[in-house]
Amino acid sequence: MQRNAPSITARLIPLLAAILLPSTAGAQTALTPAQIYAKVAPAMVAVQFTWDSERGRQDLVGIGIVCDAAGTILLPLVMANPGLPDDQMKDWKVYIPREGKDPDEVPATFLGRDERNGVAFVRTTENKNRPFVTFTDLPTDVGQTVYSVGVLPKSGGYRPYLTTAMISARLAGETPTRLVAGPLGNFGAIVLNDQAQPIGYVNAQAEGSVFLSDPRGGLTFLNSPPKFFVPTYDFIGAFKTYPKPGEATKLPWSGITRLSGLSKDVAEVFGLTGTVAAEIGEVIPGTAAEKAGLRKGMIITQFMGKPLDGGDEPDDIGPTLSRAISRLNVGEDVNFTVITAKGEAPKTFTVKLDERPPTPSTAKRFFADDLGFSVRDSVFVDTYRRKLAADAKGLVVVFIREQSAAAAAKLAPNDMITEMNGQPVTTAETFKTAYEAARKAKPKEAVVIQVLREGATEVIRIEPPQ
Amino acid sequence: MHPTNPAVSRVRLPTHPTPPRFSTLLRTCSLVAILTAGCHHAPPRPPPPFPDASPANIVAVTGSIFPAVVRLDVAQEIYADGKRTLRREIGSGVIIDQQGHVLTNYHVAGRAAEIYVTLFSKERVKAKLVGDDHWTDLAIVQLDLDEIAQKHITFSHAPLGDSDSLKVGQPVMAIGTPFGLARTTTLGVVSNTDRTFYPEKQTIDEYETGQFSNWIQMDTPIAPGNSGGPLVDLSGKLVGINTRGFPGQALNFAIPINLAKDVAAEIIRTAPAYAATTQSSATITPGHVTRADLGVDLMPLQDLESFYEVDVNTGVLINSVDRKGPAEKAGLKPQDILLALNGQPVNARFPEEIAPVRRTISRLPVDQNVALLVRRGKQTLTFNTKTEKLEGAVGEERELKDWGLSVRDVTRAYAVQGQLDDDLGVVVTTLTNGFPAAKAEIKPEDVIRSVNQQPVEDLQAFMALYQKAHDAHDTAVLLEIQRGRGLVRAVLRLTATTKPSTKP
Repeated sequence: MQRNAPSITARLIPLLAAILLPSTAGAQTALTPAQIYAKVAPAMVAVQFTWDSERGRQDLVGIGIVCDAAGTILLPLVMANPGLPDDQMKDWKVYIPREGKDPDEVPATFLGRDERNGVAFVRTTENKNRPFVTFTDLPTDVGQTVYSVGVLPKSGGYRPYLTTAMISARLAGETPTRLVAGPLGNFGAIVLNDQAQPIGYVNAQAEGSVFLSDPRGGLTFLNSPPKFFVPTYDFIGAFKTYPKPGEATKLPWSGITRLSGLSKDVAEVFGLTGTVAAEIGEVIPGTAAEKAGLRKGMIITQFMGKPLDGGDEPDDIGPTLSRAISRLNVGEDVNFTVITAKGEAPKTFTVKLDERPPTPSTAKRFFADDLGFSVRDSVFVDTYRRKLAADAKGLVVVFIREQSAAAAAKLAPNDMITEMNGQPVTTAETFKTAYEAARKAKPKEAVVIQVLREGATEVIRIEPPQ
Repeated sequence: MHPTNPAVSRVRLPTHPTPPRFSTLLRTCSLVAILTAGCHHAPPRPPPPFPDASPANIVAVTGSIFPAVVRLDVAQEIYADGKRTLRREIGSGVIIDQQGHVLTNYHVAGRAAEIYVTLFSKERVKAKLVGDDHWTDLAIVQLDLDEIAQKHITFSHAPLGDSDSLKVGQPVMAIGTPFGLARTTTLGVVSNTDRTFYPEKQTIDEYETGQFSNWIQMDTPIAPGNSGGPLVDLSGKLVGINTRGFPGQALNFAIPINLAKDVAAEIIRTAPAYAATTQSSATITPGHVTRADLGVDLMPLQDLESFYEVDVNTGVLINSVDRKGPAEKAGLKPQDILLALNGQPVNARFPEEIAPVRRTISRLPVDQNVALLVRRGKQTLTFNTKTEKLEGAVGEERELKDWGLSVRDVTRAYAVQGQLDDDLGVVVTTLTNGFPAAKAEIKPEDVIRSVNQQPVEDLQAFMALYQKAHDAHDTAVLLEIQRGRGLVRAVLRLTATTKPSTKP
């Protein structure tokens, strides 16, 4: 009998192991779906702002996740599209769903965007101390069961809803994502492990709307639910320091663009078989990279002394490296190990990162309401895309009102206005003064402007309404 | 609107080939004739402003013009799927002289590798492309005179009229091969004598066209296959070449014969001797029209005269100046007003006047100094520059069968349009699936800048480098490619070909 009975030691080993081994999420008992929902749903809200522009006003609503006790709410970046000027996003509000009642409406302020981490934040200005979730970098492995809490549109009272799925693949690429089998919540929904801990959020999918307020949307997302989410580690940096209202985050800029991964065949010709490498497609003149001696055609084999991240395929290499650079800080020195020509030994170039030049959304604007067009100051991308000298000036047309005098004159968005009534125009402010003076002095006369369009100029005569 | 491209196999035959207007018009004309004959006391009538569509005239015209009208069965050389290939189409043409020159459209017979002409007698003979001009959508084909002589075939040619004398409302007849139906005659009237499509930029495939003249607009029914055929007045003179139309809309367009006369004469004058044209079209330059270019885009001054403080109907506005073109080199700027070329005034107040000014510029001698009188603000200035030869955006094209791609020379116009830094390199046009270039993920519009680290200046240099790699039996060819703003590299993996045996 004794032979068959397990010794006391044998019986103790599993017990000891359980005590001694560090506890992991997987080892803990999974919560029930009802428990997960009860724990996380109160942190899910709907966030609204009014987009107030020349086009009129539009209320846009998306999903937010309350992520701290101060009432800070995480939004996916695309909800606060970096193309929108901050001052066009007004009247921020948070809708907090309530069982059996209309959602609670709480005013909020826009903290700003964190373009490096692909997120944006708002904060409620009252009714704080709401339930929140805390994002930590937790494992996201294939086979893991995940839960997701989305938010229904207005017709569903912005109520949270629960789905469950399984991680079916890990994808690298510019933004690492996880593919799931089964449904996730709608865009902006939180993704959780079976301990109700956040492990990511649902990012933009090939189909489906960014906004809960999209009239085309309705409940269609329930028929073709999202399949991808971004794991927390990709945006965990966003929680270190929140953006401050009115202060754009300083983004680093090397001046290297059009990075592309070296294909296997090209790598072989350069004796780089088995090395992940990226070729520089272009170096923007006057930038840190150009000053450091980097040139188009050079092949990067190491970044900061380490091999490059290969992603899933060569097409991922360039964007992944670009993103890695963008995660660094302005003023930081970065090292590129580079092969300058076939057969040459690798050299290291040090580039002190500059600050990214201002983007169109920060440029000053002017709306010529009477003739129906609006313009903004030109910024770096405008001269760059048109292959103009970096100091070339002009105003970029951003909006043409349908059926307006400007539309009839065939002025078009993206036209770059360089002259008005024979005078060069340089900034939205001076344009506004000159334009208003001209319209006042000769209200019945046409405004003659010269624009740059696809490498050619066009003379455009806008006839005022008679 | 589309060129009336023949596509006989793909198009359903029209159910009512005879337009109802034809019979109505005949009856009306007869009635007029009878009434006039019966009126003895009417005052003497002024001579008719144009020959009318009387039954007698119609019979006379068809009788005289039919023997000069031909059907063309053409195989045009085009590039598709990385290869030179042929596109077979049917069109119309008209014989214009005793040497058997046939006037037709570029979109019918331009780039033709193979042409068969069916004459009025229903006899079919071979023909050759003498030359073409996509800018005016015209081509000249010549009947094989030896074959004509052997077969004892006779043909006649159409007398050329004066398109400037056409009047709105004047009856005209179109004869051609709509949908492959040879020797089809239709009747209508001239709807407009100077139709312009300014500022639309028209093309045939990708070739620029229609910039140097206005159009004759007529309601004469034409259809795909009529292209290249004659439009004649009721005295039997050729007044236009039927070219375009809005299908089924009675809105059709012909190239005025006065333009076609000049172009035809120039193509025939510059064409190599007949015997020489038996060689492959790639090795000789066919007949062509050389035009001068100033690198400016023009705009009518209508209602801008007071803004620029110029007299009405004085000068033409410069809308755009091509990068690195002659006008830019001379210092011209957009919104300058061009007043005169070498002392000859150029005026365009209306869109209809733009094409004639372009034509005036095109007739300047190439590579010669030209004085441009320009109004800028309150100043009148003279700029001197040298004209350049007008070049289209579509460069010469070649196929590289074993690499599986076709490429074109990058022309200055292509570089200007695509905002390229320069006109070096060759641009990829089409690719063959499964061949090395497609496998290396080369894409249309990629500009190949180097082959095995040797720079590619133009098509000729590229072909030489290709030949070199080919002869060396390279199994890997490194290409540097400008793709949009970025430089990328690609390697073509070629299967090792067996070296040609040196033994007999």
